[in-house]
This record gives sequence, C-alpha cells and structure tokens, in this order.
Amino acid sequence: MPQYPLNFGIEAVPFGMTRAKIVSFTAFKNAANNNILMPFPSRPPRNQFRKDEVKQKAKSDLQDTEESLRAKVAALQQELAVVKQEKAELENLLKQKEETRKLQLQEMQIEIDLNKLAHQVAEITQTDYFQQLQIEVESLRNADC
Amino acid sequence: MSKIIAIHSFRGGTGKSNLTANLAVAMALQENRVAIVDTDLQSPGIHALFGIDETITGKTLNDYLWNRSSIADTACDVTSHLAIDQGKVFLIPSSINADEIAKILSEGYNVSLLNSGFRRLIKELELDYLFIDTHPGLSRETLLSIAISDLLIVILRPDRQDFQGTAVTVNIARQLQVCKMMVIINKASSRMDFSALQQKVEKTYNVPVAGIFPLSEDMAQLGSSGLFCLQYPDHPFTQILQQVAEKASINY
Repeated sequence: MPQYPLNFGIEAVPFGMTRAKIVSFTAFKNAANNNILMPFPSRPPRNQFRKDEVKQKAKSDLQDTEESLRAKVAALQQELAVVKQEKAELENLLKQKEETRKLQLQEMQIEIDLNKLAHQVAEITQTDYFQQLQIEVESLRNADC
Repeated sequence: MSKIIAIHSFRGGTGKSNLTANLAVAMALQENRVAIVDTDLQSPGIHALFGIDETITGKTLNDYLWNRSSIADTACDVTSHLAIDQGKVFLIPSSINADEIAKILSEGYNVSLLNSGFRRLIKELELDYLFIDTHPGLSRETLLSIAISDLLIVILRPDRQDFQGTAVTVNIARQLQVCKMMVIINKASSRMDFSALQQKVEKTYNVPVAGIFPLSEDMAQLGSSGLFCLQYPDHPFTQILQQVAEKASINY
C-alpha cells in the first residue's frame, strides 16, 4: 500500500495553498518513489464526482418528480371523489324526480269507478231502510227547531 | 251560534280520532268552548289522546245512552289536563268495557236520545263547537249523526279504496241533505304534488279540501300518547291544522 495518497501534490492540495508544502522536495521524492509503481489513474476523480453529482441530481429530480406526481395523483383522486359524489347526488335527484313522476302518474290513475259508485249508492239509497232513515233525519231536524 | 261538526271516514285507520282531537283543541285555542263526543262506540279510542280512561272520567256516553246518567255528567273537563290558557275542552268518552261494546254491537242505540244529548250539552256547557268522532263506515247511527251535523268533515287517505268509499259517503250525505261538507286528506306522501291532488279531489267530489296533511314521522313517533298540536305548536302539521280550524269556523 502506498504511504501517501496517489494524488498528493496534484488534487489533494487545493489551489492557493502555502508554497512551502508544495515544494517540499523530500515529500515530493517520497511520493514519487511510492507512486512510481502505482498505475496512473485512467481518469481524474473529478469525473467520478461529476457522475455522482449527476446521479445524485437525477435521483433527487426523480424523487421530486415522483413526489410531484404523487401529489398530482392525490389531487386527481380527490377531484374524482368529488365528481363521484356529485354523480351520486345527481343520480339520487334523478331517481327522486322519477319517483315523483311515477307517484303523480299513480295519483292521476286514482279514479272513481262511476259504475261501481252508482251501484254502491243505489244499494243503500234504493231501500226501504234508507227511506225510513230520511224520515228519521227529518224528524231529528224538526226536533232541533 | 253553536255548531255540530261531524268528523267521519269511510274506512278505519285514516287518523280520524287524532285529527278530531287536535282540531278541537286548535279551535279551543281560538278561545272557543268545545266538546268532543266519542260516538265510535264499537271501537272507542279518542280518550287515549287526552291521557285519560274511565277511572278518571267516571261516566261514559254508554251510561247516558242506557239511561244510567245525564249527558252533562259524562262530560269530562280536560282543559286543565291539557294545560291550555284559552278556551275550554270537554270530552264525552265511550266505554272501553267489552260488555258495553258488545251491547252496542248487538242492540245499537237510540240516535234520537243522542241528538237530544248533543243539544243539552251545547246548552249546559255553553259550547261553541261540538265535535262528533264517528264510527267508520255507513251504519244507521253514523248516517244519522252525519245528517244532524252542521258541518261534515270527511277524512281520506290518497288511496284507491278511500277515494271510492269517500265518493259513496259524499253521495249519501248529499241525499241526506248535509249541506256543508269539507274534505281532509291525511297521510299524503310528501313527494306528491299537493296542489294537483287538491284540485283533483275538489273536482271529483265537488267538495272543498280543507287541508292536506303529509305522512308525519313525528306524528308516528308520538304514537297517540298526546296531542300533537300542543306538543309541537310550531310544526308544519300544526300550521295546517290551524288553517283547517280557520276554514271550519268560517264555513257556515
């Protein structure tokens, strides 16, 4: 294992660091000795960071999009529930109107059976009993006077 | 001048006794002295609405009809029981004793005696209105009670049989020369067009409709345990009742 990190003096030292550290020969030599046998990195890690950054951003964007979509779905579901409620109410109203119409029709169908009525009345009035009753009523009315 | 108002229905179960009791009290609340005579001797029940029975009233109409009592002694002043400030309400109940009912069913009763009893009640109790709660149907006693009244109110439900039976009743009443008649429609479905119903009934019978009462859940809840108009003074049912009372008082 190398004693020093591979990127010593290149990436690990930020720009503008004190000059004394950069020009330390011994350190440079040690680093050179240590690193000479190490394979040179094929790509600088900045790209890796960038990738990670992009991945992270993509992941974050995806998360945001998912959340936004979830919120939109929830809102749509709410709207759907309201529409369903309105639909149920309208159906109920329609049903009530239909029932009222049926009742009105039924009501209009309640007719007097005139033939039956004439028969029923005659059964009572065309009897001696009813003639007697009329006399009795007359008598009661006269008694009141 | 005192008036006799007979309240009748061709069939049972129309709410006749309930409307009679409530209408009588509504008229008492207009500062009138009223009496209700339960001539439904075969199946009495109006006393229950006033929360009284024979043990409280003592004498009944049956006692008068069998010459065991004077008519005035059968009258029970229920005004204080109702806790009303205006008017007076008297009730002449029928006996709920099974033997008494059987006697009425087998022998009938003297309507002439009943008629003179009405006149005596009007005079002695200084009545403005005497209400007769009749027995449903067209028995001899019922027809005579109808015939001697000044106003006949026929109660019907919006029902095929009631429509037909009421047509017979109105026709017979005309032949008995009952000149003042009104119709009350009870237990009407609130989904019905009341205006159309009223027009149809008035056209069919040529009799004015005094009121249309919708089928009431609140009335059913009360279950004949009291007088609706007193327990629910602001209820739409009570308002219709007051309108009927107005029409009944001016319909002479």
